[in-house]
Amino acid sequence: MQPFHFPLLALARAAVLLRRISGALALAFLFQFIPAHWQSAYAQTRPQPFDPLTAAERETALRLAEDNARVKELRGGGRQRLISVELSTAKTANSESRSAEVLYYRYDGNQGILALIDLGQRNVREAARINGDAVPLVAEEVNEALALALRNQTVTNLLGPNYREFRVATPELQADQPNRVEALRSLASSPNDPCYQHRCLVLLFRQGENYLTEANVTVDLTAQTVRRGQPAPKNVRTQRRKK
Amino acid sequence: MKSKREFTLGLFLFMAGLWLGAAPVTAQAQCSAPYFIEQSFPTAGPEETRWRFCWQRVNKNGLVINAAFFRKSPTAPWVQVIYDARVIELFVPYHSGSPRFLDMSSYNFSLYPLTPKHCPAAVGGTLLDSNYVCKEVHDRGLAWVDDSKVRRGEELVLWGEVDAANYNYIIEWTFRDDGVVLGRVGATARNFGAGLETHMHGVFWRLDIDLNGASGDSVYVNSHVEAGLTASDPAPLVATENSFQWDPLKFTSLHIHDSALKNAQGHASGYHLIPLRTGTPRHQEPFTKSDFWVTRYKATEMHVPSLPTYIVPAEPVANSDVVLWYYGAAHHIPRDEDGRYSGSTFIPQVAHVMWTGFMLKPHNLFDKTPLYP
Repeated sequence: MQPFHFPLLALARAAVLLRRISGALALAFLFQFIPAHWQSAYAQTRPQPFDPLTAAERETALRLAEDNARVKELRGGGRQRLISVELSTAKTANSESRSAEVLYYRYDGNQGILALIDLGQRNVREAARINGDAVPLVAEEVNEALALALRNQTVTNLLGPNYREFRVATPELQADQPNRVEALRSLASSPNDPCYQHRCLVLLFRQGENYLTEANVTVDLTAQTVRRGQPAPKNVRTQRRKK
Repeated sequence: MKSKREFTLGLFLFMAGLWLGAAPVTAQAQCSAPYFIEQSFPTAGPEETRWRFCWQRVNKNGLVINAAFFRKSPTAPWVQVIYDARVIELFVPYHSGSPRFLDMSSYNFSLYPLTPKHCPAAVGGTLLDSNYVCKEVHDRGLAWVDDSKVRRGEELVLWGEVDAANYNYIIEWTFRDDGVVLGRVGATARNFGAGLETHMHGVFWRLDIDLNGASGDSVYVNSHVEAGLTASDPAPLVATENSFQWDPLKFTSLHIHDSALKNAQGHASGYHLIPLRTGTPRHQEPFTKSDFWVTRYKATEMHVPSLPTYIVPAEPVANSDVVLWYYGAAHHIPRDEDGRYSGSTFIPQVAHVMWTGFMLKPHNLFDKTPLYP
């Protein structure tokens, strides 16, 4: 026991600690003299919390989702489609962290698979099944539906000899493109309807400002079938949109 | 070893300083151009008030507002008002019972690119983000009048056009010089089909109001009640998650307060959610049975048809992070003005814009009459 040495030891440790803190504070102080444009440039290289996802972030989010065992299990092995990779604005403990939502659709069972990706931690924070009715249609599905419809002779007869000229309407497609196709989702509420729990949509064929209302057809992407859209069963949302 | 530790500690503080330097907790730092908007009012002369917010272009929801902050005077602190405000669903049932469209959850409709004709500079218009969004800053009419004295107000309007097949929905967010926020949706379209059918455009907004930050918010349901010659305006606290009906005889509105936010008079500052509506649509679907919903914030609760399940079991919402949901509608009764006649044949053309919306109005946020000498 050397009781008299204790205060000396404590003093020595305190001196070391003080030196460390002084050094650290000096470094932090020096940071203030880093040119503002360097600091600004650093800040600009990082996306801010509400900025859109960068291409690299999308790629990372998708890769993390595809490699995740839980996501793989939920997706299963049947026909499916990537629907979207979007910025998630879910609140987190770290307001600086960025997240992405990756959404898939599974045709069997009409299911959506939603994966929440933490881009900072580079992991899948959450993965869950959601109701397939809440999974939006995407342009690729409308293109697939149009391709199916144009292989159907009844449809091509209705559209006439120029049926191959119809293109899915997109914002990029010029409004003066004469033959455009728009799509509406068809959700069936009755188990007796062929579209019940299926991915169905109604195609509307438009020539200039006019719709070819006789030619609207329902395409079932789950069953890969095409049928005339009229007459629509009363309890099915397949009627044409009116104003 | 010692110097290594010093270096490590120093590096840590250095990085902390870098982080603090790069990301102060303000709206300004939460998004980059062109998604960051800052607007002071009046647009000419000394500044009185100022807005800062971010916006996003989101497939499905069109134009979304994030991190909106308001400053009531150049010397006042910024007050956060909104974390995330979006149109979350468009429900369009036709009178015959079918179709019944869910235009936002069923599709990935995106904004349609605009032109200078949509957004003329002559009305203060500026096109943003490859022309998908229009920002207008202009006069908003009379702010107040006192005989010969008068003050005209100004506003910033941000809008985009969701291309929903033959429909176009105008999603509009207005930030006024007096701290008011307006949310509106306008339905317009290219009509088609020989027989036009009456229908409803039901619009649902999800308003994640983070007044003075995410926590500590409470909601009250205000009703005007007449009793003989007198009247009162009770506003009971919403203690747990619930839904409420708008009553045209009661001027029903939701009041939201933050436990720590007071003005210079010591009065609790808040915002009132006030409907701007022409009627109340009720349909078979359970999610259309109420006009207001108050839920505790959950990131995964984003699907309107599931709204009734979000409040069961009802969790506490007082003094917490709350989300308000508001449901309004535009009722479209077809008319000859929706097309033209060729002989006795009706040829559909376009339907003019029909609007529905709401107002978020400050209450005891300012210390005195704003925009007044």
